[in-house]
Amino acid sequence: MNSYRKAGWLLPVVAIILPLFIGGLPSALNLAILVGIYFTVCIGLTLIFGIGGQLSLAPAAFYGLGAYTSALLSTRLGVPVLLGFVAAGVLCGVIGWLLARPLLRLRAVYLAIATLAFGDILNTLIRANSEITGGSSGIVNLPSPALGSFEFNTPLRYYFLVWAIALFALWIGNNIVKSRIGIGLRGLAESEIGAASCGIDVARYKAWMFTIGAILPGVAGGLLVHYLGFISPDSFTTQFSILIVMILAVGGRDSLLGALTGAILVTVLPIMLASYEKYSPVIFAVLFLGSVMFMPKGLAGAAMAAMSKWRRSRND
Amino acid sequence: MDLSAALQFVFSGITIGAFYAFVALGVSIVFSSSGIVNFAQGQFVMLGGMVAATLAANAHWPVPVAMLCGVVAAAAGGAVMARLFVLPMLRAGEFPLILVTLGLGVLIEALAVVFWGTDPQMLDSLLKIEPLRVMGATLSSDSITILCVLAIALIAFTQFLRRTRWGRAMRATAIDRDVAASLGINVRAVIVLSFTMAAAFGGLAGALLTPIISTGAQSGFQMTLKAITAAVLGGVASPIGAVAGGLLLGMIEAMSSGYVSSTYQNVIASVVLIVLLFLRPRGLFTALTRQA
Amino acid sequence: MTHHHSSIARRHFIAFVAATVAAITPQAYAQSNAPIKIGAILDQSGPVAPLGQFTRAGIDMALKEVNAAGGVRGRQIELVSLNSESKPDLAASLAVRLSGDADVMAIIGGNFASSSNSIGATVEKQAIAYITPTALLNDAQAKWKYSYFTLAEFSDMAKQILVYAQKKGYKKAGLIRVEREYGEQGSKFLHQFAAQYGVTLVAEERGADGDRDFTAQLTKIRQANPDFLVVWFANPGGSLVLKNARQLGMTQPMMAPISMDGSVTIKLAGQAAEGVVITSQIAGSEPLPRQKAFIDAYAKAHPDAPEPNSFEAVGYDLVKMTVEALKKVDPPYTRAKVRDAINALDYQGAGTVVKYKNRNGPSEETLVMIQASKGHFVLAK
Repeated sequence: MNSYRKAGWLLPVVAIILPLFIGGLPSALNLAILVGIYFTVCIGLTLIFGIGGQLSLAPAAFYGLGAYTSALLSTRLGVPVLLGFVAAGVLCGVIGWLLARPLLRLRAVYLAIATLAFGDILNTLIRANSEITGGSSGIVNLPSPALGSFEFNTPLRYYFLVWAIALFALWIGNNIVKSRIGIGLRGLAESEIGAASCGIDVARYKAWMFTIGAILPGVAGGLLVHYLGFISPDSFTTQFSILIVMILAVGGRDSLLGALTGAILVTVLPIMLASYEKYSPVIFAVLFLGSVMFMPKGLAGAAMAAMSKWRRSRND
Repeated sequence: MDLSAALQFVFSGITIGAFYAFVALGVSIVFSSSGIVNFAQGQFVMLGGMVAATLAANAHWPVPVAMLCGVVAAAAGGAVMARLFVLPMLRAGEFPLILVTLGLGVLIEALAVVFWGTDPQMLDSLLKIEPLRVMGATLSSDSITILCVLAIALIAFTQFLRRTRWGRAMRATAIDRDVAASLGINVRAVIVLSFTMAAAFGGLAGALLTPIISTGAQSGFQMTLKAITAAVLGGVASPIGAVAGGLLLGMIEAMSSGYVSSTYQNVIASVVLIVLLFLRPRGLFTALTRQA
Repeated sequence: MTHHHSSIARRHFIAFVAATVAAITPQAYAQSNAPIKIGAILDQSGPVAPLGQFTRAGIDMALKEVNAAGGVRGRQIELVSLNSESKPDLAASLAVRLSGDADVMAIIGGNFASSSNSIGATVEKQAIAYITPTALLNDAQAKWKYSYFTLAEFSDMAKQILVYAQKKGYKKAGLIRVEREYGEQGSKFLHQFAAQYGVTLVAEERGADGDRDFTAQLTKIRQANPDFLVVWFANPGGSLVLKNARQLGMTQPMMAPISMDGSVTIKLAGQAAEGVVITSQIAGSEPLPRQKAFIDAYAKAHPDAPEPNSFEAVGYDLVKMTVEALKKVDPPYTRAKVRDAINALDYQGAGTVVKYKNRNGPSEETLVMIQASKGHFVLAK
């Protein structure tokens, strides 16, 4: 736990300094922006999977719901994009909260399938109502967010916006992990009955983490589409939900460091593998299987274990 | 709407449902003996179909022989998967096991795309009999074949569970792996057997489905999701429940498409699924078929 | 935890970032006889992979031809090909990656609307020319300065179908279409133009490409008793619709857009494909003069399947168009000059006909109506 707190201080410093090195490199800056966006998603998911131990396949649904909320508010009603992000978070939070209790009564694969069905419903509704949503063809030329007359219309400006939000998400995530709720959640992952017998209101905590796990992807979805300038339902498919679950497992699903590793992997890996063309899915699958089988706690877990082993050997 | 249309909607539901049920049966076989949700099940359907289609079209083997080879190839794939990837992960818990099957699903599909390309493959029908025509509604001969084979497979499998030593070992393993092991059951062999059988049923489904809907190297994953949905709807722990869930899901889709709107066919199916899960969190037919 | 760990973590993190940046950032070098690079972003896996692989095959053919003929002014053409996995946001990142390589003079690819839209939005900011094997969808795209489209617009495809229907005297259309952008666009324009050609849409149903049975939708269409059926789908779903319709005893003529083009339709639908009319960009067995050379070369390379489809032809054109533009540029090559040369193209190719000065999509004459006849596609009568 201590190490996370330290990483929590390290990260803002790195985030602020990084543009000094990569500010002039469009592709590196692009990566850093996307890592920030996926980090926000992954923090939410870490709370659900890693700490709550629940397999939800709804991330794409909330990611898409948030993205469409801010995209439609800004293009159809002229609402400022930043307000749109807030609205995206609020809407995802409300829907997450409403769905949480009935959904979380379901166990394991039943929960996975129910959340998948929820994503399917949203995707179909978006495609079917093209007069409002732009349908399967999507909407192009989405506006950039602005604060007064200051527009976040360059990659560097967008970078700072994304990382401000990502670090805020990290702060929330860190507080939850450390708080009474967090300890309750970890108890949940260990043993639900044990947690309940210690007087922890299991249902309420589960609902909380599900809600926050809905809000963060929602806001991140808004950030993504206003960065790309384009939105379509093809970015928010079942495949995305499953991919992000897989990548988070490789990163390490039970820590915020794992969330960061996962976010870096989900951004960088496909771009690097892209050169292998049709072989890139083969390489991805082999890397994935290898890491699941040989690093059950993910890269972050393996790194932590290696580090504490090294420390022990030094202390001896 | 007239009776002929209504009957056609029923036939459509049966056709779709039989596909789902066949694949869902494989999901349930694995789950009911090992508690593992196999996210690679659809890939065995794909393998069965692709191997059969390739042998029939490129090597000009007779259709029944090609289909048999498809089944054998899928079964072998299932055995390898269980032995090399599932057994070493048995103690790792539910979530890592799901991830392993997911990863294998991605790997099998990726390799299939490299090997076969993305073009869908076609296969001649097993039996060239006339479609069933009732009051202007049509049920294709391939659908009839599938329904018959599905019924036989289901009966054979439930009898296997009840009457054979291995079947009883499977049921015991499903209830509690550790207790089964303490009773002298070779749990690891049971799990390999269940994956092999499930993959064989998957391969059979693939070989039989190809003449109707064709099979492409990328068709497996979507099949997996539909099958798990169907199995969950009926009760994933019971083979009869899974098959019933598949037929029900197919029927819901066809009826929504026929009587409400084809636009919202999937929305309706998804809403029904969620509501039913809220009402019966362990599936519809679990209690009914617990003894099966 | 001690200080050592965070410093190690930091060092590792910085090393990782540095390695990543190094892997993705190219070294700028300018040798006069170094190959000229063209970037390609193709959806070679995921749901759109069939189109990505067709395009890749066409690109390969053109590349071989161009390089065998000595390239452009003695410089070979090098393809930097990347797989965007049918993911629009990945496609955008790959466009940024390619535009970071100063030697890449233009980008081709993006195999469905979402890919080409997100690449298009990106190249507008990165100022690099982009030619895509997809169709221009809306006015916002028509105003883009760096994106060029080669697939016929959906409005033109819908009109072609309606013109053919009018010629044949069909009045009532039944439409079954996929719930994807091309189905949506097809439906929109059929509705918009039907009346002009004396056609009424009497039924419209939707489905997904992975669906396993369409008889419920087709039964509803049959009840409206249309004169002809438009199947706005891709394979394998579309071929299953053709089969299901015949199985239900529907004898109406059937028509389909370019997404159903190719011998796959005949392979999958078999007898049910007979007579289906398709708006294509190439007629495999009865080529137009501008298509002859490509089809002959294709037949030589694929003796067992000698008829190319539109997507292979367009892939071939993507390279040929870029090369033709490069030939018109005076070295040293810059992206701005290449973009201007593409904008000035007047090109009649195997799969597309363009004159980008007027509009960044292809001309109407790009489309040819073909018809399945005894296992082949011939020009529609």
